Amino acid sequence: MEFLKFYIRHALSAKRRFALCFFIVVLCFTLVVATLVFSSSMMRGMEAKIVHLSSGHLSVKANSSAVRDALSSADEEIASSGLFPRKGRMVGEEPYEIYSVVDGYAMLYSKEGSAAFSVKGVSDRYLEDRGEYIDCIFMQDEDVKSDASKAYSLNVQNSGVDGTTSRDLPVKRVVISKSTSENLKLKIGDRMALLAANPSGRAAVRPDVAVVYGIYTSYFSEIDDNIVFVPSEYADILFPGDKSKRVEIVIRDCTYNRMSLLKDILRRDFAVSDYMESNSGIWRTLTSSNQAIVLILLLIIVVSSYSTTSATQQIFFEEQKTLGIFRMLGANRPVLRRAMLFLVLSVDAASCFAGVAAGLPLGVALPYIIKKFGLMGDSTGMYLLDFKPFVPVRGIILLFVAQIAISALFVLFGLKSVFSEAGKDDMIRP
Amino acid sequence: MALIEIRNMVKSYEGLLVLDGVDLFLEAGKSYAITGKSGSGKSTLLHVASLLDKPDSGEYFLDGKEITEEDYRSDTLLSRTRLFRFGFVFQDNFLIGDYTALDNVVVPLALQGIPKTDAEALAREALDAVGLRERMRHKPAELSTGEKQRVSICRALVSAPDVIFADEPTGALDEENAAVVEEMLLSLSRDGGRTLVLVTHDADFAMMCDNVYRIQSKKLVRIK
Repeated sequence: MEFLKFYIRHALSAKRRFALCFFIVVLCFTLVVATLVFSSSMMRGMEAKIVHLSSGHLSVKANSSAVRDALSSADEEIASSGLFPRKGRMVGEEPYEIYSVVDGYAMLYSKEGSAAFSVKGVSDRYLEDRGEYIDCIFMQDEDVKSDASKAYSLNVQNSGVDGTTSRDLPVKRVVISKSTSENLKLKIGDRMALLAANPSGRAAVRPDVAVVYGIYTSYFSEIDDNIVFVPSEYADILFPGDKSKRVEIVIRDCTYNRMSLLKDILRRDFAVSDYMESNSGIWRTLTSSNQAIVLILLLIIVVSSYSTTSATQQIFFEEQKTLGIFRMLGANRPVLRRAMLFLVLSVDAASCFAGVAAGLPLGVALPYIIKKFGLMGDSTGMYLLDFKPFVPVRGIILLFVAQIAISALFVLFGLKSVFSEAGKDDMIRP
Repeated sequence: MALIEIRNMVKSYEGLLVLDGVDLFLEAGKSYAITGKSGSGKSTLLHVASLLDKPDSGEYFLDGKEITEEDYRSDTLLSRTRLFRFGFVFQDNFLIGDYTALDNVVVPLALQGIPKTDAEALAREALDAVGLRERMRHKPAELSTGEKQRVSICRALVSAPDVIFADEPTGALDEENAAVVEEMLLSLSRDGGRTLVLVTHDADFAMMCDNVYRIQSKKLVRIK
C-alpha cells in the first residue's frame, strides 16, 4: 500500500504525460454521453407521444365500464404484486387513467386536395390531459378569436365565438395537424368533407361535412401525418357499432412489469394489445433508429477506447524504464501490476467523470442549440426535437464500466507481455 | 556455509556461449572483485548472482537453499531477495529522472512497505551521510555524475542489505569521485560486515578486495 501511494503521488505529479490521455477520454466520453442523453430523450419523447396520442399503454377492445370492473375485481392481485404501491397516491386515485376512444379511417377532402387518415374520436378531456405532448390551437383561443379570417359559420348557435363552450360548438368538428392543414390548405374555421370507412372497410355512401376546429402539432410526423381527432359523439356517427370502440389505458410511471401485469389481467376477458403491438410499424422504425444510434454509440466507444488505450500505451512505454528499475530493486509483478492499473484507471475514471459532467449538459442543451441555430435546416427536421431531457443513468454507468474495463484489460494484457519469466524479462537486466 | 553459491553455471545469449561451467562462492562480510576483458561475461555473472537473470543450467544456492525453476518462474522469492537482501549500484546509476534524490532513495523503502515519514527520515539520513543533504530535493538532471552515483549508493544501502552488487560503479567518474565511491563501497564490507560483489576494469580497485577473480575463456579463475 505504501508503494502504491508513493507511486501514484509521483506519477500524477508529472501532469503533462497524463494530460493528453485525460483530454482524449474527456472528449470522447463527452460525445458519448451527450449522444446517449440526446438519443434516449428523443426515443422516450417519441415513445411518450405514441403512448399518449396513439394507443395508450394498453388498448382494450371493450367499453370503459367493463374494463374498470375487470381491473377493480383484480384489485387485490394488483396490490399484492407490489408493482403499484399505494404510497404517494391519493385515496381513490388509480395508478392508471382510462379513456374511451372510437377509431376509424376516413378520407378528408379540401378544395386543394385529399388524404386518408386515422380518425380518433375522443372526449374533450383527452386533448386537455395531453397538453404536455401536443400543442393545440382551438377555435375559442384568444388569438383565433381576434382574427376574423379564422371565424367559422357552420351550425353555430351563437353568432360570435366569444363565450363559446363545447355545447355551442358543432358536433361535426375536426382537429387536424399543422402538417395536414398545410398539405390540404385548411385553416381553423374551414369546412371539409369527410368520407368515413366503416369497420368492414367499405366507404360510406355520402361524405360528411365538418369544420376544422383546431390545429395541433405533436412534433412527431408519424402521428401528425396520420391522425385527426374528432369528438366521440361525432365518431359514433361516423363509425357506428361497438367494433370501433375501444379503451386506452395510460399507466402512471409505467414500467414494463406494470404494463405486463395489467395486460395479463385484462387478457383473461378482452382483446388487449400494448403500445408496441398496436403501433408495430412505428415501433419497428423506432427500434431500427435506436439500433442505429446504439451502433453509432458503440463506434464512438470503440474510438474512445482505442484513443484511451493508445494514450495509456504511451504512458506505459514512458513508465517502462521506471518499472524496470522498480523490478531491479525488488518490486514483484503483482505490486507493479496493481500500481499501473490503479494509475491508469484513476486517470481514466477522472476523465470519464469529467466527460459525464460535460456531456450531460451538452446532451440536454443539444435540441435547444439545434433549434436556435437552425442546424437541422427545414422544419420537418424540427419534428424530432420536442422532448423532455432524460438522463439514462444506467446507460451512462454501463459506458463508464465498459471504458474502465477495456482500459484495465489493456493494462493487464500489456503488462503480461512484459512480466514474462525472470530469465526472459528484458526489463530487469540493465 | 556460503551466503551465495553458484555451481557449474552456463549462460548463453542469442546462441553465443558466454559463461561455461562457472563456480562462485560468496561468503558473508567479504568483498569480491570480478575482472576481465570487455565482453568476457563479467556483468552476466553479476546479473545471475544478483538474481536479475536466470542461468541456462547450473545451480544457485542462497543460504544453502537451492533456487529452483519454480522460484525463477514465480519470481516471488527472487523479488523479495532483491528487495530485502540485495543492493545494486551500476555505472549508469539508473536513477528515476522524475524523482528527486530523496525520492529515489525512498523507493526501496516504499517497496518494503515502510511508511512515508519513516522512509523519508531514513533516506535523509543516508544522503546526509554521503554529503548530499543540500541536494536531496534536486532531480538527477540537476546533479553531477559523482553526486548521482552517491545517490545510487544511498539507495542501495538504505535498506541495510546483506549483499551489494556493483557493476563498474566508478566507470563514469573522475579520479576524485571514483576514489570517494571506492572507499564508500569497500568500507561496507570492511566496516559494515556486508558482502560486496564488484565488477570492475580497474585493477587497483579490484586488488583492494578480499577476493579477486578473472573471467578467462568463459570460466572464472581465482587471482587472489
